[in-house]
Amino acid sequence: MPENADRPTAPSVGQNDRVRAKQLTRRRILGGIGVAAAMGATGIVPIAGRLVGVGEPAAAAAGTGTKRQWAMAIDLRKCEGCVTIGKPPQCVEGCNAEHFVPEGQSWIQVLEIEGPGGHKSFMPRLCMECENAPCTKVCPVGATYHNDQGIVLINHDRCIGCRMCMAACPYAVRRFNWGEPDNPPGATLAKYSPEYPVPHRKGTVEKCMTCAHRVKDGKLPACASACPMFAIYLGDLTEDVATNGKEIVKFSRFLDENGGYRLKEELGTKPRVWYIPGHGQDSGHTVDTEIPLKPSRSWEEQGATLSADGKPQHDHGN
Amino acid sequence: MTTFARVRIVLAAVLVAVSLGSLVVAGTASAEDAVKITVKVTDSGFEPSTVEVNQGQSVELTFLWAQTAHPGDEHIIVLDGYKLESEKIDRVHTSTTLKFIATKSGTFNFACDIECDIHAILQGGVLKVKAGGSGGATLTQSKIAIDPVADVKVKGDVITLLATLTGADGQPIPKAELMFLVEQQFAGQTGLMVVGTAETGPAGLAQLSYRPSRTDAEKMVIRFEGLGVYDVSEASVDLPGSQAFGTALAPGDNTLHGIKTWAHLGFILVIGGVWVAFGFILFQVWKLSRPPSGGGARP
Amino acid sequence: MTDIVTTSANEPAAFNERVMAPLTHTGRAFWIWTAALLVLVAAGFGAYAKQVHDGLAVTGMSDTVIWGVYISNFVFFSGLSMAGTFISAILRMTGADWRRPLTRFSELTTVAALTMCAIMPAVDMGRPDRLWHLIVYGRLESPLVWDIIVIPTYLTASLIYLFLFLIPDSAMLRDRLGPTASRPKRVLYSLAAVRWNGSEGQRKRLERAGTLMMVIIIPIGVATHSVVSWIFGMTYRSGWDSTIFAPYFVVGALYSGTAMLITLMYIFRRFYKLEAYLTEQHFKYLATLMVVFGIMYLYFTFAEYLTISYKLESSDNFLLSELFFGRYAVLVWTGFFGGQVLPVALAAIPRTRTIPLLVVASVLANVGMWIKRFTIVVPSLSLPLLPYKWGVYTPTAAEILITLASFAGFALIITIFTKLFPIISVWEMEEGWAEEAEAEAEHPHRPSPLQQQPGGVAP
Repeated sequence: MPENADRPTAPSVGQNDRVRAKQLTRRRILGGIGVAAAMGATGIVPIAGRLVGVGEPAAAAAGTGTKRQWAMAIDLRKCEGCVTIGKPPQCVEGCNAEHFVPEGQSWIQVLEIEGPGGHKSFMPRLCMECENAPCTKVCPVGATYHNDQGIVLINHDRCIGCRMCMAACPYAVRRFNWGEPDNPPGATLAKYSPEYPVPHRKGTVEKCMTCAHRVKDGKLPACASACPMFAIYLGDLTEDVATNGKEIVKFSRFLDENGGYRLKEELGTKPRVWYIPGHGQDSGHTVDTEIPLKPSRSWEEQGATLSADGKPQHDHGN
Repeated sequence: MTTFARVRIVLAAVLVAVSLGSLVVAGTASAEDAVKITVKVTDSGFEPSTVEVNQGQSVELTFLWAQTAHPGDEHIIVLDGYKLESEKIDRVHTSTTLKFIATKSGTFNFACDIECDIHAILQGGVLKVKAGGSGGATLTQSKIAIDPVADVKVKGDVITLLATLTGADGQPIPKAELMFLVEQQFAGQTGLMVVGTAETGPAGLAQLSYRPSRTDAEKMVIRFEGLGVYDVSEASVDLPGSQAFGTALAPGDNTLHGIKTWAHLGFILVIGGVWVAFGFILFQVWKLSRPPSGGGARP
Repeated sequence: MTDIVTTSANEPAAFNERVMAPLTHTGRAFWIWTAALLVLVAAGFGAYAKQVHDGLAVTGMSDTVIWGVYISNFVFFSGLSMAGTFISAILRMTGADWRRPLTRFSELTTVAALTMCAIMPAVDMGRPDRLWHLIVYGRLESPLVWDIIVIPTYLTASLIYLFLFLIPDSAMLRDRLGPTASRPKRVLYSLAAVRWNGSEGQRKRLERAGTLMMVIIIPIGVATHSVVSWIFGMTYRSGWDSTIFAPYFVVGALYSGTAMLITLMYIFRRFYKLEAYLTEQHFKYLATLMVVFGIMYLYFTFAEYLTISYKLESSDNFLLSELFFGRYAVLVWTGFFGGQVLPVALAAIPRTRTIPLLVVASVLANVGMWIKRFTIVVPSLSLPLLPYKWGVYTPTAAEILITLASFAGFALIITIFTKLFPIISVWEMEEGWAEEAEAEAEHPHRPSPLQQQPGGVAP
């Protein structure tokens, strides 16, 4: 299991952010109450929330210093779906273990794509972290938003579970906790923040979030550090740099030279995940041998991430 | 807005002609002179088509234009493996010479690289370098010296770097690739990041357009990986801090987003108006419940 | 007795008696019916309690098919709510005389359907305990918030509209039933009557308020169904990403709402023995409206599917092949022929335009429209956005129970109302007869519209 050693058991993320979020919340509530008193009607109230200027949580506050603008690139030439090492996709495994992704979900999906001529190739799918994100537009309560580093986060304390964002997402990266999610003993101790949404909450939407808690500490996302092929790059658009944990490249040059593209570019969502097109060959095995993609396992079967006292119960599955 | 701050980083070739190094080179060269081989380019192909040298030998491979059937033909010969590219030869400039030291053993291909009249038959040139030879030739040093550029102001703009690559023998080194790298630290990784490459021209001059993307000072390394008889060399320069390259997250950069404010206002006005109308109607109902001033017919 | 009742020149005592009968006499069938509805509603509450406890995992929804019958019901009920007030307001504005027996239960249908429509999204929410977040954190950019604003607005408007034209009847009830009714009823009637005495000043004031309400309720109704469609229209999904969705939904709503009025009219006529007032002519008028809306809906359906099937963008292609020939084909074609073509044909052909067949047509239309809503919501969601597997969705018992409960709740609201207020607007009927008498006094030989109706009640 790669990269389990540095997984934070209780990440020390976002102390300041939490305080700020709390203040923001209070302001919003006060604004809301004032309005409710003034209007005395349900329907009109949200409007005044806008008027008193408590709009989008991610209103790009002018900060000092360099602001990271996270992006990712996935080199499909290198991705073999981990079929050549006979394991489930390690990016998914790493992600599951990092976030205790509940049973029945996987935030990263590795698609098996059949190209012309019957060649199979693989495509790991993360959240695209769109700049013009359809999901943040349609959220009725502003529970999903961009942080100032361009990552789309979800405030699980605010999400009402309407799933409008899931309907709007053209990349189908969002997942929903349909029932009570399984939180192992290790996970229940973690301190919740939108950047590290553990423990998971029933009736709320979940998704990949470029490991916001890891990248802010200068670490690669769990998927990138778990990838045995170094196919996943973390990039920063501000400094124009990217790395896969092995080499450092100039991001714009890397994409330009390798023909980087984005999924569904025509929608104008401006995703921040680029793909380097594959070479159209079956990776690592001959054309005749069919090696299917192994379904990813849950964190439960990766004992390393669990506390010693056994497996937690889970009884629902979708 | 594309104002290009043109910064000339003059990589002056600092050449002291009489140096110990060149004496050494001259010494070895005189100890064993370069192997001189001439290959004729005729209408039926290279003549000879296979050339053999020993590893470590200094080689001067001359190509001679000797065609009769195609008087207008011209060629540029490339030698794979040594990354060498010749000058153009034709009826007027009939001769070109590739000078190199056969450091790598093996079989290498030389061929014409442009669409000449006899392109197909000029693909099969073979250079064999026999391993374990004791040519004893050593590479000529090359050197890049850099002037400091401390007073340069760069604010997120593209700068043009000009570099001249010269050998210790004073000759400019043309057709050589210079690699520009920056020391970078990111996401737990530290290393040299390639920011661009450029090829030197006839005067050994290479040019690279580069946009610094760091806010702090960065160290740029310019690397020459060796070519022909010239050895590897490297130089570095400190670039001052720049402005951020990337875009901050600005979902509102589309002018259409500006409509949003007005749309909100209109929406609020319409819905507010409707609720005011409700209020007015209910007020009418409330008025109904007031006893009429003139006394009603109510029992 | 108030003036308005006693001064009517042609007051048919029989009408009064007939229309008041359900208020004073309650038969055994009524209790059985109400009990059945209550059982269904209770079962729905039970299912909902389980859903709250276990989460939406008790439903058949999944990460691909994220919305199911709840949202279908939501669209369906908002559709039912459309026609009632709309038709009532249009007919009142144009002064169509045949509206008089229809207005009351049209408005009631709107209120009942809209109540259920407003409940459905809350049932569908993963965190109903956070409903108040919509008020505190609501964002105007979200189509869902448009719904949250517009639907309560429309519900308020419908309630006011129903209430306004109920005032004279409440006064009548207060005066007539007041002495004998139970205390809560007495309070209800006297509150709803707001000291109405039928004086000229009061009538003018009511007319002014009523006219204003008619004018604003029509655009509100249109807006309601438009924003319902925009929940879908604002996404990138194939089948939803359509610019004509708003008018398409509005026309569909008018169609299914009109059909529901026909069904309800038949039920009232049958069980409250109102054959003399809800005549075949009324069925034919409503049938004409249903045909008009139905043909418009067919036209929109054609326009919508022609444009996407002509271009056959890859995802539209997948969707259409599944809709027309694939796993949804049975539903789609049943909905199309059974719910659109057949009812329109039944209502359009003079020979089949009889009351029983019209009732069949109206029920078919609504079943068809529910299917249509289902095939709008579910297939577009099960369509993979990238090369995934198709999503699979089958409603579970909990969802079916809650759906049945919502229909039962819809019926229950109407049922209870009919026990409290007359289902036909008494004062409007009397006003009609008064006008008719006046007209006859001036032009004795001109027959009134009501007289033309077979089995009409004109003296």
